[in-house]
Amino acid sequence: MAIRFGKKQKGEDEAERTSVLWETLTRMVKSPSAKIGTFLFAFIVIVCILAPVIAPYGVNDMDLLHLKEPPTLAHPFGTDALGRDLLSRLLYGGQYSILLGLCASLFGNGVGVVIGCIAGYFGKTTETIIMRVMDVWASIPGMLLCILVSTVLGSGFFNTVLALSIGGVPNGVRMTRGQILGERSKEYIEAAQSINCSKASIMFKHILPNVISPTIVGTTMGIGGTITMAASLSYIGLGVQPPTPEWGAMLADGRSSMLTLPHLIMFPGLVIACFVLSINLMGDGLRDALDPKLRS
Amino acid sequence: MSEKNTFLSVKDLEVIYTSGKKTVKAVNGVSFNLEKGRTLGLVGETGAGKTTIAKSILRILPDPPAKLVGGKIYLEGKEINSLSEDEMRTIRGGKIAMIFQDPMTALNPLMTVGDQIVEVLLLHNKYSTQEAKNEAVKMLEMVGIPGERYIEYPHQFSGGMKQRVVIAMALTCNPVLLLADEPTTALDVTIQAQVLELINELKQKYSTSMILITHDLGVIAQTCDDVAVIYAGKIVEMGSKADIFLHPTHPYTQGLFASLPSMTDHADRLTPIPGMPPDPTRLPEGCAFHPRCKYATEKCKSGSVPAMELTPGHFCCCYNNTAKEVS
Repeated sequence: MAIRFGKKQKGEDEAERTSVLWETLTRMVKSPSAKIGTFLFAFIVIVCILAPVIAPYGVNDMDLLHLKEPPTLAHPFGTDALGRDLLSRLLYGGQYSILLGLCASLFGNGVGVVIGCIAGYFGKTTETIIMRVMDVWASIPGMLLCILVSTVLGSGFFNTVLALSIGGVPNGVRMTRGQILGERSKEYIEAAQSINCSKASIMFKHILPNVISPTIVGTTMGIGGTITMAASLSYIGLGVQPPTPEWGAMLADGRSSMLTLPHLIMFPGLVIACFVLSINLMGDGLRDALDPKLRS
Repeated sequence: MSEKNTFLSVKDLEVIYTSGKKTVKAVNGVSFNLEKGRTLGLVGETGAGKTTIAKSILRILPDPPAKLVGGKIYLEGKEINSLSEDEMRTIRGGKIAMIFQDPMTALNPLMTVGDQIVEVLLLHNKYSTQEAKNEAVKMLEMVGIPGERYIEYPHQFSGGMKQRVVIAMALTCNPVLLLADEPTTALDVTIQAQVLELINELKQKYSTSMILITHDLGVIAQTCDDVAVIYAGKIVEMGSKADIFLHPTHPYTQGLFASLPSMTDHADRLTPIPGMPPDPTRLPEGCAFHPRCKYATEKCKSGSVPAMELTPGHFCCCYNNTAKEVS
């Protein structure tokens, strides 16, 4: 049968899968806002990765002649109380903050989505038990949970990711489960059962893609919160230990001298805001790209 | 006729739905046989239990709230209810396939129609992805959709086209039994005719047996060999199409025909069946139809009404006839 499947007609499964991913990505950057978001995100990530090359000073190089200086030519973003160059620290700090924010938000929501799927799809007792546990979980303030976990596990990258993500799980569960409740009764789920799809394949192949959009938006919105939460952790000495640079921690450091040295909170705040904005724009674009009705 | 050599045999099927403390008796002792290559029409009002019967055959009743409390279903001599989930695998989607009522929601909106057909094929055959794709394109063309539309999504199709895709999905593994659950209800009349014609054609081509669920007597007339009239989860009258259409015996069946508009007579009002279908949580004692029946007597109000054979193959559950009782 000489039917062409467009670009998909490469034969191999592997080739098709990459092309689907590629198609989604290209579709994603079609809308102007998603394009801006993607470029901004890529820019921030790249300059942070290249920090050792492009940063004008070392992370902990102290310029004792220029303490607490507002932006000058030598220090474009100014210096902090110890005379460290703010720009360099922001660049290095990004490596840590971006990874931490992304990992914690994705991990927390990812776990939440899987549990939510199970609760929403199986219903009955399974759902009741899971949802009651989530209620209890959600009733404990996120910060407290975070402190608890990081106290027990200690500091370190993975422990911090775990501590930061744990508070986001109930949200992910509730969001996914609520969406599934609406989707579960639709006929295509029954149709999938009638052609003998396994439960896992119905859950993850049929239902999940149809309910994931709000979670994508929620996850991207959560990244900013996670970064500031990471800062609070390091503030009480549980997250990243100084002098490791980290956006949230820098923001927290500058708080005490907010009125006299505004640049100390302005620049980290701006960088965090830009990063979160870029991810949100990307998330929106991703959601639209995954919806076939918005493709053309 | 023993259930061993009948193609499909349903015996005393009973299904209940529980919600809170209420129990809804959706199907109350339904029995019927279907021979190979024939089409049985299940006709009845909304909520009479037609879809529940079909879903119990496929064992996809949502449990809870639904529960199969009694009865046996045999397909080609094998009892379906006692099969393990593993054995059910070859039957569901392979031997028995279902066409759903609403094509708008019966397709996954996020998968291309081709991929959805491929999924069925890969679940039941040892095809490579490429072979399955080619097969899916063939299926699409067989139901009258150009193969190039393989890569399109359900929202790019019209209702009738979607129903064709659903039909292609159902027929793709050459099922021996097709359960069509109101396949034309969501479509407009001209498309209805096309879809019915397509189903008929394909059914003959593959000599598939079919159970057609509908509340449209016109659809029954066009497609079925046998008809079972269902009221409140019970078959009240069953027989060949001619039996039912020419000699409707049960007052409910008569009522159904009386409420059809006629092409020749001009009438301002149709003749509906008085009253409402009974509350399925509190079915009336005796014949469930007696509160609405103008022939009802004291005898009708207690005990279940046995099926009586009027002419060979024509059964009716009503005392209001002269036929002999059968057990």
